[in-house]
Amino acid sequence: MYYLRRLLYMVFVVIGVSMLMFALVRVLPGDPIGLALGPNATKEDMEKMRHEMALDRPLHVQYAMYVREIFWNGKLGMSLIEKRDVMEVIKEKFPATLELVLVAMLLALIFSIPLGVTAAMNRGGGWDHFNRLLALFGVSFPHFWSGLMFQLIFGSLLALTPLTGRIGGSSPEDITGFFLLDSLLTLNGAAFKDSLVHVIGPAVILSLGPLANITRLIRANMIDESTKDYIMVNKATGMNELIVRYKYMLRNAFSSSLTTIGFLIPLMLGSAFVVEKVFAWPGMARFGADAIIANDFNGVVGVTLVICLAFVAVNLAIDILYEVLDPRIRVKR
Amino acid sequence: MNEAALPKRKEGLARSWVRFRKNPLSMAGLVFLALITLAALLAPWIAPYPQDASLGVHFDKALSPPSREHLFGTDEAGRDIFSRLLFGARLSLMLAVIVLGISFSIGVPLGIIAGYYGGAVDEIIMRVTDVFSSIPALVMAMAVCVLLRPSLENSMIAIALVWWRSFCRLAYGETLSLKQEDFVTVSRALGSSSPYIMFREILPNMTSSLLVKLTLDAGYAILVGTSISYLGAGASPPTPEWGIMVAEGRHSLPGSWWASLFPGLAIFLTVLSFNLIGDGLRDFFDVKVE
Repeated sequence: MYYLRRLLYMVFVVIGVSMLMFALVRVLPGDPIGLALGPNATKEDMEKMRHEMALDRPLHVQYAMYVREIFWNGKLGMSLIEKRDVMEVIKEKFPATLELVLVAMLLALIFSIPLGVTAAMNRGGGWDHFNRLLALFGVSFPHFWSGLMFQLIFGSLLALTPLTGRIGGSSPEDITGFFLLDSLLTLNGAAFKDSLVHVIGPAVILSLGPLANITRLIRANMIDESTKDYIMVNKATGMNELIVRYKYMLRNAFSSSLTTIGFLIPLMLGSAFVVEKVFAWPGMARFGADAIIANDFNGVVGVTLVICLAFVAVNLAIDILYEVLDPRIRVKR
Repeated sequence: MNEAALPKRKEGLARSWVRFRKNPLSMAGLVFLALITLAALLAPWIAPYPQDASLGVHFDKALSPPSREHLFGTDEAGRDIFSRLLFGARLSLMLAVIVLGISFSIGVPLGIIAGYYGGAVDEIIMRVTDVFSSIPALVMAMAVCVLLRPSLENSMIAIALVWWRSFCRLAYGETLSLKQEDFVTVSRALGSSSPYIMFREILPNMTSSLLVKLTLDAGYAILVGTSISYLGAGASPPTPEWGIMVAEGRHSLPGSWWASLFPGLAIFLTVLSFNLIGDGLRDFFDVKVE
């Protein structure tokens, strides 16, 4: 029953977003056809294109056609800037964006967990204050600027990382679409190193915000945990302090942080719009940003739909993970 | 004796100020924000080259490095970056005020109404809010802004049309817990009307949460606004908007680093001050607001 309700809710959100964005790009005054055909297009050309893209039909008819195309032919409509179906574009570019977001999330988790735990243990001390300041810095950077400064320092001045792009040499054989994973699977050391130095810049920039958020969250939840009875019992039995912290407290502190951590992923997909533009990362978010600027309405609806699906998928994944990490929830439901 | 059971000490404004002043980080934020606001207000009088913020160009002085005449150097059109930053402060602060003003007045009443009435009203309002919440603010605001035609004013409207959702969710959550309180029951028993209870009894009791949220969101709204302009969907040149200035300055990297460093630094420091103040207020009021 619980899962049925959750599922219905998710279907509602996806339908809602698709309708909202679909209507928005058609009702608001932008002129995509004029932009796509350029200033020299004749009235007939524009009428013809409008007819081909069914823009002259009533809104609800267009929406019905759009939904039918998705389920019958797996198509999301023609992209005006890529001149091919949006589904094709997204299939090609989504792995790059997901790889970037996942690497950034991994970086954020690796650094934030020890930072959060040690800050909580030194509550009120110098290290804790330093941590708080660090976290506030992390959420205050405009991505486009921190990205440019990263390129300036590590790319131009120190020449440690490439300025832009995803890989310098040839791409590894396509298995999953993740260059890091594919090059490992095909034992292609050169491609692995190549894609690693390329991903590091955008991933670091994208990870700053989440890093700050997770650190603060882990800190707060560790402090909550530290006042609980089982911790006192553990300590009273003479258990090693590190085991108490990292095995018992962190497990509970982490699972109460899970919802927020999960919802950082769709948020990062949004920030990726800026980061991918700065680092010329060939992903879906960069396509999304270009599509918005060029009024490529099918592109805009397609990309937002994918982000919304990611949001819904994270929702579901959190529900399931909660049960794995916290057996008490299984009993409650 | 249980401390929590003691009645809370009534705190006058002067005493609150003493308590708030103890947080050095928040004070630093407050001081910097005061400076920025002052700079924004006095821009036409204190800017060394006020005409550079609008149409003035001096190509003979293009991209000169920071010096005594040009504190932060000049950009590719030879305009004084320091003067343009001062005028840009007006735009960023205005963006925060307008975005928060609109989204507050849409979101808070909706959230209170949904939480207070419950049932079908709650379902309708909150499900619409859910739909808006499932797309990152930057993405949706940027899309709306381009469709309205890219400009600074439209970017403010677009961000506000997306931002109300977070105020709605906050007000909704607060209302759900506040309406269980005794003073609401008493007020109802005394025959107060629903609007009176919602806006004169419940609303004043969420002031501290809303204040923290407004402070923190002012920074985030500036981040979103400058990002939209940077990507070319908001303000257009020669507006001295900070995001545009970074975008224009990036063409002269790495040689003329000052053209993009200083405008970005201005954004960063402004957002940071809002965050420092918001973080201090959060501790001060002891509320949980993200």
